Amino acid sequence: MIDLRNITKVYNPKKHNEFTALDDVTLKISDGEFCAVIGKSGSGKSTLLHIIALLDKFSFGDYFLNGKDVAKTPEGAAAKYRAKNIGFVKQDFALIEDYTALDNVMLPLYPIKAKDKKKKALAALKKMGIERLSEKETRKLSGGEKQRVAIARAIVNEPSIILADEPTGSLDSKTAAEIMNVFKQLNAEGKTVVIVTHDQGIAKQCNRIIEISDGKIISA
Amino acid sequence: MNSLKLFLTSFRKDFFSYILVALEIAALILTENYIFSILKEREILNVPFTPLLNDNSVYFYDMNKLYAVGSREELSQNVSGEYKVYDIKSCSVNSVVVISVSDEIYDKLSLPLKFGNYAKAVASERISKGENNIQFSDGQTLTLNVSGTLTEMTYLPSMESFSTDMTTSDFYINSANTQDVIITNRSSINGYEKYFINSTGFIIEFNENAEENISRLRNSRAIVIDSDLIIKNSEKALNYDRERFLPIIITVTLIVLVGTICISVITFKENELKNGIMWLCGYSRAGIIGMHITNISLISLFSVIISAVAFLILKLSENEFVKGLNLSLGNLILTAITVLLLIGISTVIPAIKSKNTSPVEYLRRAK
Repeated sequence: MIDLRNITKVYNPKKHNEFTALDDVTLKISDGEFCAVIGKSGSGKSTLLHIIALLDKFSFGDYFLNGKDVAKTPEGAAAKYRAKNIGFVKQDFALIEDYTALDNVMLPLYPIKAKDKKKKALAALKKMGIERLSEKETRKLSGGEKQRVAIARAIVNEPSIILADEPTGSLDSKTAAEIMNVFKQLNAEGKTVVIVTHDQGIAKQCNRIIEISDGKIISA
Repeated sequence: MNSLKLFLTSFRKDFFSYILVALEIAALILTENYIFSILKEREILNVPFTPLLNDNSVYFYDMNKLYAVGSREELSQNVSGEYKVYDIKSCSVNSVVVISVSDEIYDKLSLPLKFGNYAKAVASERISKGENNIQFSDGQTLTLNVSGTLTEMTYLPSMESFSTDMTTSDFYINSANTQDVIITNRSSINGYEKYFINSTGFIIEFNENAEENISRLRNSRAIVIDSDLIIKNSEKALNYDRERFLPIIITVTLIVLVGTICISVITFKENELKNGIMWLCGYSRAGIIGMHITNISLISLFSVIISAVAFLILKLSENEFVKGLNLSLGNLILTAITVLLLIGISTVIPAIKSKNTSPVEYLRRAK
C-alpha cells in the first residue's frame, strides 16, 4: 500500500524562488489499484509520482510504503528498495540511446545483484512482445517500441508497483492504446499501477482518478 | 550495469574521446617524469661532490701512501689529523661508454675506486657504465664504479680513441671533452697548468695553513679543487637545464592538467541524463559516482600504460632529450600520485555538483 500523509514538497526553500509543489497531500493507494493522477501542467502530479517512487524527497510529512516508513531511509537503501519494488516509466522513455534494448532492460538488475540477468531481461522483453529487438540499439527503435522497452525495464525485477509519468505523451493514439493495454494487463496480474496524465481519455481507462491542482488533492 | 560493462560500452561509443583523454593523461605523466628526472639527475651529479661542497677543507689523496696501504680506508686512518680525506662516491647514471686507458695513463688519471688497489690499472678493453669488476692475472680484483660522462661535473675525460703509446699530455690534448673540473694527480698536469687554468680546470684553495699545505701538496701527487667553483658550475648546469626545458614542460603540464579535468567535467555533465536514468533504475548517487571513478580510473590506467610504453621507447632510443631519465621508485610514486590526483579532481567536482542536484533534475533537463 502507498500511504502518504500530509506530504509537502517545497523547492528552493528560503530562497527568492521558493515554490511549493505539493501542499499537505494525504493519499492512500491500495495494492492492486489502477489509478490515474490527473491535473494541469505544473499541478504537482509528477512531483507526487517522484515522491511515491522514492526518487525525490519531501519536505514535510510521512510516507509509508507497504507498511514501512520510508521517510528516513538512507539514499542507498531507498535506491535498492526502488529497484526491487517499484518500476518507473517516463514519457520520454528515459532509455540510454547508446545501449541495446537488452542492456537497458538489464539496468535495474545490477543494483540488486540479481542472478541470470540476461535471462530475466529477455523474459521481460518477451512479455512486452519485443524480444526480437533485444540486440537493437535503442536509438533505432520507434516510439512505441521504446516505450515497451521502458516498460520491460520497469517490470524486469517484478515489482509490485508500476508508476508511469505521461507514458503515452509521446505516442500516437494507436500506440498509446497499445501501451495502455499493457498497463491494464500488468494491473490484471496484481500490480499496483499509477499513471500520471493530463489526458482525460487515458484517465478514464483507469479504475480510480485522483485529481490534483496547485499541489493539492482535489478529489481522490 | 556494472562499472566495467558501462565503461566498455561507453568506450566503444566514444572511442576517440577516450583515446584523447588517455593520450592527454599520458603526456602529463611523461612531462612530469621528465621534470622529476631532470632534477634528480642534477642531484645525482652532485652526490660525488657533496662532502666537498659542504666544507672548505683541502681535498687530496696521496698516491705514495696508497701504494703503501693499498686502500682508501687505510689511507684515511693514517693521515687523519694531517689532512682531510673525502670519499668520492661516483654514481651510475645513464652514461656513454667509457674508454679505458693503459696502466700508465690510468695511473695519472687517479680514477676513484670503490674497492681495489689504486695502483693497478684498468683493463684495456672498453668498460661500460655501472660497476665493473676487473680481474688481474695476479688475482687482484678491481671494482670500478664508473660514472661516465655526466656533465661538467665529471672527472673522467672521454675520448674516442687512444693508444698505449700516448703520454698523459697527449691524452689531455686529444681529449674531445675535457671537463671543467678534473680530479687527477699532480704529475699528470705538469707543464699543462695553463691549459687547465684556461679551461677553469682548478684553482688552488687556501686555508689557514696555506703556505705549509701548498708545499706539502706540491710534493705529493695530489691536487686541490675549489669547492666554490663546483657549486657554481653545478648551479649553472642546473639553471641551464631549467631555463631550457622547464618553462615548456610546465606549460605543457598545466595545459594537459586543465584539459583533462575539463574533459572529465564535461563528460560528467554530458552523462547527467545517463546518471538520471541510472537513478531511476535503482542506482544510488554514491554508486553513480563510483561508476564515474571507475571510468576515469580505467582511462588513467590506459594512459599509464601508454606513457610507460612511450617512456621505454624513448629510453631505448637514447634520445638526447631524455638521456639521463631515471626510472626510479620516485618516478613511479610521482606517477601514481598524479593519476590519483586526476581521479580525485575529476570526481570531486562532479560529486560536489551532484550532491546539490537531485538526479530527477537530470531527467527533467534532458526533456
